[in-house]
Amino acid sequence: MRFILIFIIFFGIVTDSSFARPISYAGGWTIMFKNDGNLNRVHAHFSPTHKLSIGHNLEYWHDEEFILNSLQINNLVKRWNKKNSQANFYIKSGIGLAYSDKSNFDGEIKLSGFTGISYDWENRSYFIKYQNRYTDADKIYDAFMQSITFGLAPYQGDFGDLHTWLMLKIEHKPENKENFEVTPLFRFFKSVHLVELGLNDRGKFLFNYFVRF
Amino acid sequence: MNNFRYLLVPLLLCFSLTVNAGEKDLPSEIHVSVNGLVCDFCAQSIQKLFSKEESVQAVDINMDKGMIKIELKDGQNIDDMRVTKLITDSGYNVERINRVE
Repeated sequence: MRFILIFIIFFGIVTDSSFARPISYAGGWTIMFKNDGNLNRVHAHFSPTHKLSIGHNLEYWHDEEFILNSLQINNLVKRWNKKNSQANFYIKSGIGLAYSDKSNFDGEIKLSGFTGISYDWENRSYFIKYQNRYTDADKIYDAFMQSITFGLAPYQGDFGDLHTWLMLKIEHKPENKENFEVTPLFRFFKSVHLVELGLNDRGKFLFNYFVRF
Repeated sequence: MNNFRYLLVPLLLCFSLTVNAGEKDLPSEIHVSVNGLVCDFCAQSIQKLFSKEESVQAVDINMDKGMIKIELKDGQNIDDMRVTKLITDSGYNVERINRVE
C-alpha cells in the first residue's frame, strides 16, 4: 500500500504539465482555512503556472489528536471547458510529518503522506463534486475517506455579484463506526472571497474561508 | 518656390492620411468568447491577469454570454496570441476573438 502511495505522490508531482492545470491562475496565490467537526486546516498554495500548484498544508485532527504538516502538490489532470459548464479532474498529494498527541503515540513524529483524486462538474445552477483521499501517517493514522457534494444556486448572479449556493456534503469514512456524515451548507462568494457555513448531522459546525490573490 | 509648395502640400496630406489610417486600424475593444466561464470566483483570475497588461484600460466579464470585453488604452493594442495566452493561463478556452473599433 505504501508503495502505491509513494507512486501516486510521485505521479502527482511529476505529471506532465500538459495534462495538468492548477486550481489558481498562473502567478496566483490562494489561502484556504477549513474548519469542521473533524479537523482544522490551513492550506496556502502558489501556482507557478496555470497547470500546477505547490503549497503548505497544516491540519489538526480532533479525535485522532495529531497534526499533519505537509508540502502539497495539486495537479489539474484534465479540464473540460464547455460553453455553459466546466469539469475538472485533479490529483492532490502531500508529503510531510505527522505529530501525535494521542495516548500511546504521544510525542511521536512520523513520516506521512496523502493522495487522492477529485472530480467536479458545474454550470451556473448545479454543482457536483466527488473526492477521496488516502492518508498514511505510519502508526499514528492510516485511513481512506471519500465525499460527494451537491450544490444548487438559487439565482444566477453576474460577475462581481454576491453568489450563493445551497450545498449538501456526504462524507464516508469506512474505518469509522459511524461512517457517514451529512453536512448541509451555504457557500457565498464575492470577488476573491469565498465563505462556507454549515452544520453536520452530529451538530458540529463547518466554517471555511478561501481568499485568492 | 510655388512648385515646391504644390509638391509639399500633397505629400503632407498623404502622410497625414497614412497616420490617421494607422490609428483607425487600432481597435478600442476586444470581445472574447470563452468556454467554461461559469464561476465568478474562478473568473477573477481573468481580471487579475488582464489588469497587469499595460495596454488594457478595463475588463468586463459577462457570465450570461460567456464573453470578456477588453477595453484598450488609446493607441494601444494587444495581439490575439497574447489574449489567448492570458485566457488560457486563467484556465479557460478561447472560442472566438472579435476586434471592435
